[in-house]
Amino acid sequence: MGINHADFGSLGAADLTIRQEHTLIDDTAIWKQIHLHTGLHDD
Amino acid sequence: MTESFDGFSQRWADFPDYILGITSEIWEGRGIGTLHDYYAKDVVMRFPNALVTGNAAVMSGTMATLVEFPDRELLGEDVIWSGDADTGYLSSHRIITTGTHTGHGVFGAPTGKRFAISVIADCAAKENTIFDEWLIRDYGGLVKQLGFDQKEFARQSIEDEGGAEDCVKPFTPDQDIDGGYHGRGNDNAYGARYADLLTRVMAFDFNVIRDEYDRAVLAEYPGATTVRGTGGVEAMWMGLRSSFPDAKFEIHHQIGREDPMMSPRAALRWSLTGTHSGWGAFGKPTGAPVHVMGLSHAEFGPWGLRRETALYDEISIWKQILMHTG
Repeated sequence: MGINHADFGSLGAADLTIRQEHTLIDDTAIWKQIHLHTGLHDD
Repeated sequence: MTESFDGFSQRWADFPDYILGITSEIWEGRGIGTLHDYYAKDVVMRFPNALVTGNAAVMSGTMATLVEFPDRELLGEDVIWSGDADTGYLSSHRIITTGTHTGHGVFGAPTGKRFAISVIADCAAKENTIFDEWLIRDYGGLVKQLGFDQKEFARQSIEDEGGAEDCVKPFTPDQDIDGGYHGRGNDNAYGARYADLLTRVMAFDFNVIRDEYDRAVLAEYPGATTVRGTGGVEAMWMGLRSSFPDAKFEIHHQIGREDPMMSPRAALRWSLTGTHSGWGAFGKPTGAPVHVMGLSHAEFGPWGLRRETALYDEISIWKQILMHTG
């Protein structure tokens, strides 16, 4: 699952770009899925 | 090309394009020789750690920095500008500069450490040429990130430069030279709002911070310090003011802008001039005469001031204190 925010802006005549971004995923939820698949051993 | 951009080469779409373009050409494109064209022969540059005149000095300083930090990158964050062809255009250019300490220079043998610090450069330009400048790097942040103690670093530079009498003197107003730019900015409401806010803070009216800053403010401060929330904002401004409670606060230049596709924003050049007579960010009061050069940028949103970068050079302050105490 991912949720993002972005701020767009432009300095004068320059093209519009993303100036600030927040991206969130939950790493622990991804590791949990990996462990559920592999079993709870190392690597 | 617009009418408000008189006197500059057709090469540049507008004034921010010129500032971002020549910065990239000089530093990242290694066009140090282009400083002959882009900087006036008798340019006046005020850094917190020294007054420098002439484009030859700019070129040698640029080379020395590139030797010490060859992979240095300059990420242009904003150009907040004012002026016209008559008074000169004034660009307050905010940059994040990053790099790796892999060469020899003022920091001694390479440490291999990475750094990322903020810089604000106020440059006055006419007809493709910069003729007057005020620039603050977060030198204290760089010193910290390379693993040195700020106060000890300042003490060592006084010693290396021949002692308190002979060392390179940090910039103070008595050294100033008229570089030809006499603008004071513009009369936009956001510049006035930021100026009023800082004036109240400097008048010890610290509760203005809770009233006027967004609770979720993100701010970049000296010493490569990032703060979130008004507690950190208050700590920085109070730590500075409390060290120099008798100092005179002056705003020298004030810009506000409401540009399309950007938050309303403001740029200020300010100073504190007085004595190190209080407990604060610089420890035990010493009575040292101190001049603090300041440059700051702010962005406003629906809940108040939401992003700020405020810079002064901690090393130049320590140097003035140690020059006094010995």
